[in-house]
Amino acid sequence: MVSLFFQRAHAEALKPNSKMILIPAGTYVPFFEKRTTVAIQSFWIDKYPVTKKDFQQFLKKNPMWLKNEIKKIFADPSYLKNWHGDRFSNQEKKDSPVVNVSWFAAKAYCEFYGKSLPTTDQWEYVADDRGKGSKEAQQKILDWYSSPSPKYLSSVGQAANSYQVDDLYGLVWEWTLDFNSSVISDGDKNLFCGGGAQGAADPSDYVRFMRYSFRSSLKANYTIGNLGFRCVQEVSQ
Amino acid sequence: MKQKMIVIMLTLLLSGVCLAKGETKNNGESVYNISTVWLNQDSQAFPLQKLKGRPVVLAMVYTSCQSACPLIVSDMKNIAKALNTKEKEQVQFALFSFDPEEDVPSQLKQFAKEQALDLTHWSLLTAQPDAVRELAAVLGVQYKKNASGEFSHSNIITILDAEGKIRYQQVGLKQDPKMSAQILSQLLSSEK
Repeated sequence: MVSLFFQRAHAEALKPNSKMILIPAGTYVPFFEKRTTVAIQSFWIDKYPVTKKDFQQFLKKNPMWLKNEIKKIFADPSYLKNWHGDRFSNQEKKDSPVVNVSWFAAKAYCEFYGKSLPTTDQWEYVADDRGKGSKEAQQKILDWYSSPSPKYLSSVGQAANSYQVDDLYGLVWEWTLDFNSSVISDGDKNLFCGGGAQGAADPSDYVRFMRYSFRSSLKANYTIGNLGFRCVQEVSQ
Repeated sequence: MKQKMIVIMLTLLLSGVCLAKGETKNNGESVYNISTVWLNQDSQAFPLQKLKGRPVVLAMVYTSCQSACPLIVSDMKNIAKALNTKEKEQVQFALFSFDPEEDVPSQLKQFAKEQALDLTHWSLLTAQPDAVRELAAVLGVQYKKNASGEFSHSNIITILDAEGKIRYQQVGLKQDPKMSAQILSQLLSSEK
């Protein structure tokens, strides 16, 4: 009993904050890979995408990332569109995901809080949802991809998966740390386009194909109205 | 009168602001805004900013790469060849490694020897994965390590001006060096 209590207390102490979820270690089959499985270590992930209110707090402490201060190389002109200084438009929900943020800004946010952006493998592993991320979810995702973006985004917390991680799809696309690793080619022999699909683990998985092709079209300074992010944190030893 | 003064003061204030903004805008486009530190082929610390002050021709490669990387290096040599002697003296060439595990400084030095690179004009650099990722992000280079240990990567040669702004990217292998050489000549003549 005592040891159980201790274990619980210990786990609580390791938990970075109440809005993060501990993802257990496991394996998954990545898209566009010939190797069969990738081992994923246990890690913490934000339950929700980073919200406008969260990002506002960050901006107050890190003014170099304000719209008027940011170095041009770190973001394109639509960075924090409709924000004025550290204030977002009052028509927007404060708990809706922050969007129009570049990879550099997203990375800086996570690092400021001692976290990092998830790797593509980590993100896909959570989205895979122990293999449940298939059929039914895929249809929902396709419906989402095909519907136009709403003028104002909904608040986070729309739908959780079996890990209790919310909004992996349905609200915004999300940056990953190695978004620029979606090289659809075989070795350095440059097999693009049609050839790329042959390397896919499951060519019928159109949903994942969309995500990978979207990531490969991004550049680190791009800011888009339906692209946000969340952070992860290592499990401390 | 009072109103007029306010208008004048506001104008002065705003023009000051604009000036300040204009300044940061120019430097804001510089690759040297990322402050990563690399190691060169002689194991010396090499902050990215060390390249500042002269036009740079750079690419990301890895030395155990069999097909594309030697071609990238050869394309860079072709750009050098397309410059006149005086221009060549003023341009810096840099190779950044994707592969921190294998490409330790001694390996970079060996590669420079194999490729007959003149180390007064060429730097071969390696760094931690984070720094590699960030530089690739700034340059728009895609890369991924495969299970076999090989890297898939974009084949891009980038030309920076003396301030670190990207002026041109030569995309693909075995490209005609003419355009790159022309841009370097322009950069060098505009600096005089």
